Amino acid sequence: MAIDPVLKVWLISPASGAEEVPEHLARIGLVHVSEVPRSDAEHQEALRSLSADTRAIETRVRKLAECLDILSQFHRSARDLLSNLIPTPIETTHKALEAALQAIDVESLHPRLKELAARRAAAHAGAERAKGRLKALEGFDALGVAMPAEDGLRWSSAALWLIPTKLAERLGATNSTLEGVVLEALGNAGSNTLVASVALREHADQVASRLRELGFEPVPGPERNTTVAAYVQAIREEFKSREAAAREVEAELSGLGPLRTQVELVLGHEENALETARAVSKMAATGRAAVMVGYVRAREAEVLKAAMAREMPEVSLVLEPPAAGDNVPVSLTNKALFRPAQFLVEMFGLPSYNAFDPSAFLMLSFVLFFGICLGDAIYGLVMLAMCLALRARYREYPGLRNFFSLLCYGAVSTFLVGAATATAAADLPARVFGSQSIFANWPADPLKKPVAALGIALALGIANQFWGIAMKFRGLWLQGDKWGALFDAGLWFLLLPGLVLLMVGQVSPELALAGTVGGWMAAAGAVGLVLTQGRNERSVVGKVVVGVVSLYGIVGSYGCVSFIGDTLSYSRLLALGLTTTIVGMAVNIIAELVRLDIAVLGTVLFLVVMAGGHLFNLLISGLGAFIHAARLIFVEFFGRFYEPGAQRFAPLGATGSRIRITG
Amino acid sequence: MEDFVTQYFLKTGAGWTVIGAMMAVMFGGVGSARGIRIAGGQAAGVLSEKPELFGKLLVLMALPGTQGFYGFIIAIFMAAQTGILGGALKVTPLMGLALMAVGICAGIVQYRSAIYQGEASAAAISMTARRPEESGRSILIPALVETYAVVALLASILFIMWVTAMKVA
Repeated sequence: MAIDPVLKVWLISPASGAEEVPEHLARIGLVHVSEVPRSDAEHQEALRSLSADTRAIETRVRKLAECLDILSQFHRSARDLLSNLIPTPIETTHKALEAALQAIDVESLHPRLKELAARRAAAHAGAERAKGRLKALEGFDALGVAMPAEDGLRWSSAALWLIPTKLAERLGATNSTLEGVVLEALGNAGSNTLVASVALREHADQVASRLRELGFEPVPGPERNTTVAAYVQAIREEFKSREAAAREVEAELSGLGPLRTQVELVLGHEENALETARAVSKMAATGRAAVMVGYVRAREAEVLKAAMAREMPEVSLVLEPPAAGDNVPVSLTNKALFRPAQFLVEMFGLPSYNAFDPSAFLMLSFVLFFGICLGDAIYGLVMLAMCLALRARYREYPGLRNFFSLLCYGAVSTFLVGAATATAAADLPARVFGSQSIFANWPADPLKKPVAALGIALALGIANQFWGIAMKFRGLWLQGDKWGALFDAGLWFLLLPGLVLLMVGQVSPELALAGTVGGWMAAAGAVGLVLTQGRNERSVVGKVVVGVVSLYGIVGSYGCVSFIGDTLSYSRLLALGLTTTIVGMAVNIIAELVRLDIAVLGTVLFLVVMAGGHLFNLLISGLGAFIHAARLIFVEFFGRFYEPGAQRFAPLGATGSRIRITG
Repeated sequence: MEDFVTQYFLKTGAGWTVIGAMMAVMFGGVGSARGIRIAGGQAAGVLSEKPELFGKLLVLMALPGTQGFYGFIIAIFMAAQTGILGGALKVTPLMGLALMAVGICAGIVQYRSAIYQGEASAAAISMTARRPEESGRSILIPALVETYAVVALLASILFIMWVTAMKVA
């Protein structure tokens, strides 16, 4: 349950053949490669950077990515959606990868796919144009009158226009406003009139502009003189042929769809090759030797030594603990119980190497908040079944497995909260057992006692704030800053509980003693904070000013104002919980109305509305519950102690974000 | 109609209270929707280039949604304290007018802060797009804007309690 300890690796190789070192490391797949540090001018002068020509690989990666983009439109899977949320590499074997490398010739596939994509785009664009013309000429398709082509006249230019019939009538009365153009109404359809205009060629643009100002909508005309009916028929045929062309290309592209997985495998392979080639530029060399720096998990150091002795006996390996100030990459390993919460930490950002992994400490809060937001026994059971099935379906992808495991915990919490509040698919227990039953008068129903429920939500907020301060205390203490732990976290433990007790004493006269004790605690904490928060300032005035400001809470995430604000933010737990129940109640009412109003199909429709409505509510409310529970962790809880920003431990090798080779 | 007005606006303040409560819900909800639209538009632009950031942007997109909940909380609190929700009505017309003012003022703060938070979220989304490893810190930027929505919520709760506790002759 922690951040994996790592060792810094120095690899010193002969300068000749140094470019091959990253390839060997990629095969071993244990070392995260970093830039060689050049801390002073002496190093700058002595060491030169190595470089590798990566242009050919970059071009292949670009072409493969374009191929994948085209093929993905015709061969989609549920993994596409999930991989946007959680990195989901394809599991593959060396054998399957070799087969894909043999099967995919990017130099022939890329132009073929690009040509098909261009044909498809052209066909769709043509169909859209034809559709637009058909829409404009809707209702005129039986009009047998002649229709001039735009370039069908020698000295004049003809055009077609659509105008409201009322405007056509008005223009007919005041034709003098349109000098230089001859207008002829070809026919009416609905409230529109189709009008042909003829003007001298040199005045055509001026006339068109004038007509547009008057409200004329241009209609693309035929290329040769014809009748309106024949023109509409020609457009219909064009539309059909364009659609058929698009379908033909799409069928061909769909036929290539199965290549998608192989293209993705090759792309993953090439991306890894690119990363390996780029690793060369992170090396530095003198005239005779080259050096590479990286990190290895401490538990894998012996494996690395053995592999290096086998793969690169000429390369010297030096292992040492990371120095202070090193940008150490971070990898997390948690026990199975807490591993799902690791998903949230990775989503927010990894902790720095010298901090601690908060996965285990946020698990209970997140799961509880999720349960309160969704709080329904039946929803909890349905969600548990769905998440267990999905967890089994995607068990080979660690990211997805953790995600669905986390949702399983959330489902259990949802069930327990629903059971505690007698909420099962909203108010079904009360409806089934009647208004006199215990379920209709449940003592812990948040709908009937919203103020009490709000109080519970805020109490949970206060508890989680204290938990966050405890985490800060722990972090500073573990880093050896014991005075910092006492001053920056411990004193808040005096002030904030003191304020809570003071409020309790004010509200309940019988607990006046608690109020008095709280008052003294709060005063002691406040004085302590004013005296210590400015301890890094030089002047006495500076110390006091910073102390007072810190107590109030203008700067940073600590301060009385911040604590009050963050605690009130937990009121969303009540709002979301009530929203889930109220929407569920609405579904029940609609289903009941359908059942009573329709005699024969009533029961079937009742079941359909119940299943569909509640499934919809479960999905929408579940999404809200996840986002807002995560937000309470990320903003209100992590704000107390957590600073993300470390880089992920990513060993060089065939274990990229797109593919993972398992055997 | 006359009976309705007399019953809910002249004899009791239930009508005024309901207007105030729904104003808080309306302003908070509309503001949140606009804020999420601003953040969502920015996120859509980023996701079209970097779909792998969806997980990191999800919370940033949802941040301006909080004000809608605060409006809802104010409405529920007003309804519960005045007896509109599950109890005997105990609100005079003057109390109702005062509560309506509370609802409108709090609602306006929720409305504007949600939009500003949406803009701050959009900036944070841009920051995350450039430096994904800083996504955690970027969440804190729009969260700061929310402070004032929280202050309005707190003030509303205190004033609702104060107004409904008044003894009216």
